[in-house]
Amino acid sequence: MMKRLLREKLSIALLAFSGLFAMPANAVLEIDITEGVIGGIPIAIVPFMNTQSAPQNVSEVISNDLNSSGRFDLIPERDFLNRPTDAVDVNYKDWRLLKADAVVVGKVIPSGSGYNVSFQLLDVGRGLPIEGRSFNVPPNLLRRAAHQIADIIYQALTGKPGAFDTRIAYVTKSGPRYLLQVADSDGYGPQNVLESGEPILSPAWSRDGRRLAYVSIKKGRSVIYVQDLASGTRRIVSQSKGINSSPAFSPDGSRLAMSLSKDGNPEIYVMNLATNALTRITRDRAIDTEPSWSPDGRTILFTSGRSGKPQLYRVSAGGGTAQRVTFQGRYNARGSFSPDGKKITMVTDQGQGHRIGLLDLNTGSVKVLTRSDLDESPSFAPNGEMVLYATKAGRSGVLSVVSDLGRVAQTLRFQQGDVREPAWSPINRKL
Amino acid sequence: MNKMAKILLVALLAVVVASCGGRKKLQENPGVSAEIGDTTSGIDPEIQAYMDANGIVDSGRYNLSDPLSNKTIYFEYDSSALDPESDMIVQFHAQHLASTGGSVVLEGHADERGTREYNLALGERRGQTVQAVMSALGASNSDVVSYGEEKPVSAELWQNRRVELLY
Repeated sequence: MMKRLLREKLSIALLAFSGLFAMPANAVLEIDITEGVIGGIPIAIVPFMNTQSAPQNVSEVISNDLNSSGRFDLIPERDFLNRPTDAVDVNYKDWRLLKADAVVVGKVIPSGSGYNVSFQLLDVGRGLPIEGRSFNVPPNLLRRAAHQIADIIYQALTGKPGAFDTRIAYVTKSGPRYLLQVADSDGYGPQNVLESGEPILSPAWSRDGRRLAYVSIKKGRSVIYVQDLASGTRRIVSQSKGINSSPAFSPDGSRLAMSLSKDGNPEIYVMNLATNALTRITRDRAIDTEPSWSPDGRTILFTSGRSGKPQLYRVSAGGGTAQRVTFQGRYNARGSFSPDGKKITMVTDQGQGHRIGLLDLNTGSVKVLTRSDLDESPSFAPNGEMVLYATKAGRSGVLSVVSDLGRVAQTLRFQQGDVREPAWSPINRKL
Repeated sequence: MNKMAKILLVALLAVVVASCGGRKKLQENPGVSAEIGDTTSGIDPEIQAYMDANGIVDSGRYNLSDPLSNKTIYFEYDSSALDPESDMIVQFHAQHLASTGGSVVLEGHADERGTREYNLALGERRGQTVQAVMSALGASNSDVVSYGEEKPVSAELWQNRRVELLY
């Protein structure tokens, strides 16, 4: 166990180092694997035949993606007996010796003004190919191609879609400057959505990945905006008296749930985005906030202090009587459904600080996925198998990804200041 | 606090405020801040009497020699209730503002624990608690805003759970 942990730390450190030269400003500086993998699928990713000019090391990106998912046990490169780059050169016996279930080989070769990326995923036990594909991409999409390959491998071996070619939104703070950014799921390629001298919070994706809703606080007044990512145009959707917070798009994108205190006390409302008509969903003297939609759009999960301490409740999206969902732990807040609607991730305090919890709605059991005491803003990957959240490293905010099995925690560090309020986009991209 | 006690308190506070004419004048000239705290050392006798009568012990969070110099009111974790000492400080400000007819912005804050959205609501609720005390004592020209946990002032968590009285 120790040895395995050590070799992972080493290989990831090397990955991070070799990636430094191609790194854009404000990108991930370091990726720490803080938990070992137990019982993952043993897989060997052989370094791809790489063109010197290629701006990305495709097989390294694939290795890092698969490692971060917590579902694979990557066999270290130094143990490889040989390094084939094509299926015809693979001697399955060599890989059986290393106890690999699967081997990935591939090539990156110049093609036109870009590159041709091809790979093959091989079943070591049966000695047969499982998957193989080839992409022609411009240089700026090489990394995306690598994420797509990782997604294909993930699906082929686990039966569930991968979530590597996806995006995340988050807020950085350096000095008095707040930046709302969108980047690849591993933190690369950040793009500014909004820059402000005042706090930005609660970024929330529309299901199609085209819009972000967020809250900006100016002179103590919170305002909810919806911004179109492609055009950059934004509009104010709520700036009523009191607090305007916690926007959440309905699955069909037509409505926005939010928490407003315009009547003196924070309540959950749903706004029809076409007409701006508001429907009040809750009516309680306590704080009601952090609404989140069930995948079928019928139920809204929210945080309420009505029992004396924050707990999660669910209510019909049309309003009605709310039912309490969480009973274990003295603090349960900011819940959101898994894409299949069977689980909820939330901030939970079970007596050891604020950590990320996973509530199984069938069994009612709560699993605590993290170990720090200031973990917040959890959101599921679109495949529901990983959770992105914010935590603290010293006094600085960082983002982490943990598998829903609690096996692997990966920390994404950013070069500039504090990072917080992550939100995983609900959709995979297409090349 | 029952109604009778409240009436007595208001009467007492009126006496206290009236007897602090010198300080009151200083508050009207905020530029002369160096003089704040010069008037007395230790707890004001009238305040001490009120504290004794209500079982309030000096927590060390406030300068009790000069109640109006305390422009920040503190709260317990995940609570928007005023403890008796903080309530007393708010009442001094309320009396002062009621007498001057001045306006105040009540800026609510929370510490970093818990979710940002819940803390935004908690900050507002803290401001509303202060506002209710102010209104009850005739200082009705107040406005509540909240920054939640976004503007910490200290690494000490208790110092961040606060309402700042901006006037």
